[in-house]
Amino acid sequence: MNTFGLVQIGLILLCTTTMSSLNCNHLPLQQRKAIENSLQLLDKMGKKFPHRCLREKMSFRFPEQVLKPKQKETVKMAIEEIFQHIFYIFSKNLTLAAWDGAALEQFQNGLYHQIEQLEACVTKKQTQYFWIKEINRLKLKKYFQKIDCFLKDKKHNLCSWEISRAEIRRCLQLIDKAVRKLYN
Amino acid sequence: MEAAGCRARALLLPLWCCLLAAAPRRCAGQTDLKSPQDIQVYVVNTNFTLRWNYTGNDTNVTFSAEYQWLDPKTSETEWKELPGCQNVTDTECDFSSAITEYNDEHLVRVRAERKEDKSPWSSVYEMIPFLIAQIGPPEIHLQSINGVIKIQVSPLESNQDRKMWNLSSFKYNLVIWENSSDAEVRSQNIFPVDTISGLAPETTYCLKVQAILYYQEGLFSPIHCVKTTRKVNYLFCPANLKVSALNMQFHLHWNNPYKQHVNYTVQYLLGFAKQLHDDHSGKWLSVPRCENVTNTKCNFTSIITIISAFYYLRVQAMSEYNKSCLSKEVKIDPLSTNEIGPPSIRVDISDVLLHVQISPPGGDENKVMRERYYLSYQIVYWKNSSDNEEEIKVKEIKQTIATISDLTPSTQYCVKVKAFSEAYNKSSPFSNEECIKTPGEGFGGQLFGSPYLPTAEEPIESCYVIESIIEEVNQNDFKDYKHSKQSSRDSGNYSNDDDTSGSKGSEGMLEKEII
Repeated sequence: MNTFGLVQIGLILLCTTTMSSLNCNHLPLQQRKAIENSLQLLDKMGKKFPHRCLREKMSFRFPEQVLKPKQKETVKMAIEEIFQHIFYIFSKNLTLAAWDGAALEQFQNGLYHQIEQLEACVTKKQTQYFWIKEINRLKLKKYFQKIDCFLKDKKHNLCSWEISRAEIRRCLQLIDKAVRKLYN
Repeated sequence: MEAAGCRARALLLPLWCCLLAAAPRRCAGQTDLKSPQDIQVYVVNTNFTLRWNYTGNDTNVTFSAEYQWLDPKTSETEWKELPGCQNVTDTECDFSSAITEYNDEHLVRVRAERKEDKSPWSSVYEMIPFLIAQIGPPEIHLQSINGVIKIQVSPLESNQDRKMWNLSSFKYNLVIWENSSDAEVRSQNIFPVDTISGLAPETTYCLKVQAILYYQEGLFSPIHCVKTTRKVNYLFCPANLKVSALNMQFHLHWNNPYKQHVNYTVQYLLGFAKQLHDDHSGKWLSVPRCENVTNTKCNFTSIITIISAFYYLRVQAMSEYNKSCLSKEVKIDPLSTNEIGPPSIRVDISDVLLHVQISPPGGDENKVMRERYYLSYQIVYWKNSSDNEEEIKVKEIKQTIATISDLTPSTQYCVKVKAFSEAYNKSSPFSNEECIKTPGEGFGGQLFGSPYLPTAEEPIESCYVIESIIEEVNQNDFKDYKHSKQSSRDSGNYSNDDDTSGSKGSEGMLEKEII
């Protein structure tokens, strides 16, 4: 009776830990496709950037140097960190943005999948250990904290969301550039 | 350096006295108190603890600390008293109230005091809170119900104004074991709202959970022990859910041994919803055309709107007595779950060149599979001769058109092709076999097995051929296997004088080795 229970746990564990079976060598190709999809969905979510929101525009200053470190593994982790932050931001109160809910959900779903794939492919424990202490991680936190504070200050109104959306768009484009450079 | 008084006497006293700042001073007028050593800061979420060692005589000794916040906006640097660490008797203190800027650098130092005597300051500890913070233990709620354990993990720092981890999505690692000796300990990832199943009924299990942020592991929660209940299995619960997918058409099958009248509704959930802390039980949607059905299968292709995404499926059964039961969930990763069907091929001959045209699995219009799987094709061909010596040759290409040259005249060749994806480690079954006979010397070819192909006299789309050959040359994945007793090396020079008729490939002649 006891062993039977444990065997079942084992089976459930096997089933619940299915990760994508993507060959990690093909990750860059797949990433570029996924980012392309994300950008399309980001555009599809809302309409053109409203003119009246221009005066509220903020300079967030994305720390571009985080995408240029010496090791490929560290860039992968920076990218995953950025995706995690974006995922978090878009899980907030979006009702005032009045965006296409279906497109938003698909955006989140695609982003989440990318995060899982990256995690499955970054395997070097040493890089992970050093990433925890990395100053780039701090730069990213500060950058996304700025966006988060901006949204909070403006009480998540439509303009603040539109400005954030434009900023995230820029972010994704920078990542796409970095992925292209890394693997060419 | 604090040895101001000492410096003045440097000429009169041994030099080493003033160089050892941490050592007890022997200079007249200076304190005997040792300064604290091994100063450390421990951070768990937003709780800051300062710890140090004191090796000197500690009777009637108290400690006080100072700190600096290096505000990036100003260049002010002044030491301030550290709240929570003034006149403490322990060798540790809590200074959480002092720190608010978790991304900025701070400096901390501490010294010993006895009445009017103050020791020199310890060495300075520099830190950026965010980079040294540990992830605290999560709070968990358990519910033992129907032989499973429902678990809910509260978001970290949920009741705090100031958060260390405010932009973070955590994952959770569950460690569980049976509360008996020799029990195996299992570790699994769980979502914030999840169900632990596969447990023995009426058994006590102990578990603990830690939050994980990217690759940083947090502290474990305290151990919780809970006893599972009896399992009540409704007979009509849908079981044995199986997913079958071919060429991006997705089907779910299940069974139900219960003979009575049961209605089924297949529901789906977008994968990312489980990552969020909210209870997603209300977020399940019905799969179109699989609502209130009586058969035990469902085509759920329509819900797969994004190929690179996760989906969960479950089946809800409703008995005639209005009792409902939910099946277990299955997780779908479309590109992993899907199986690639066989391609179809057409063969065509001109002189001693055999052209193979491949229609990708799913049809020519179905670009999804080609684009997402980065399909390649493996062409297998052989001489269909009466003698037993079968020389099977294999060629791998990325294009959908290939040419085989250097064939023996008046011989029948057979070809079959399969598609494969290196990216997803999948391959399709082989296509139909197509056989064709090479012409004798000077005659047109005779065709077998492809009644709708043009004869040799009719113009062939040579332009595609040129394009594919040229691209093949540029790629490194050209492989050539030979399984036969003959060790002959085919060397064929290929050149084509026809116009390229506007195709994308580069123009010009090429000499290369083709099979």
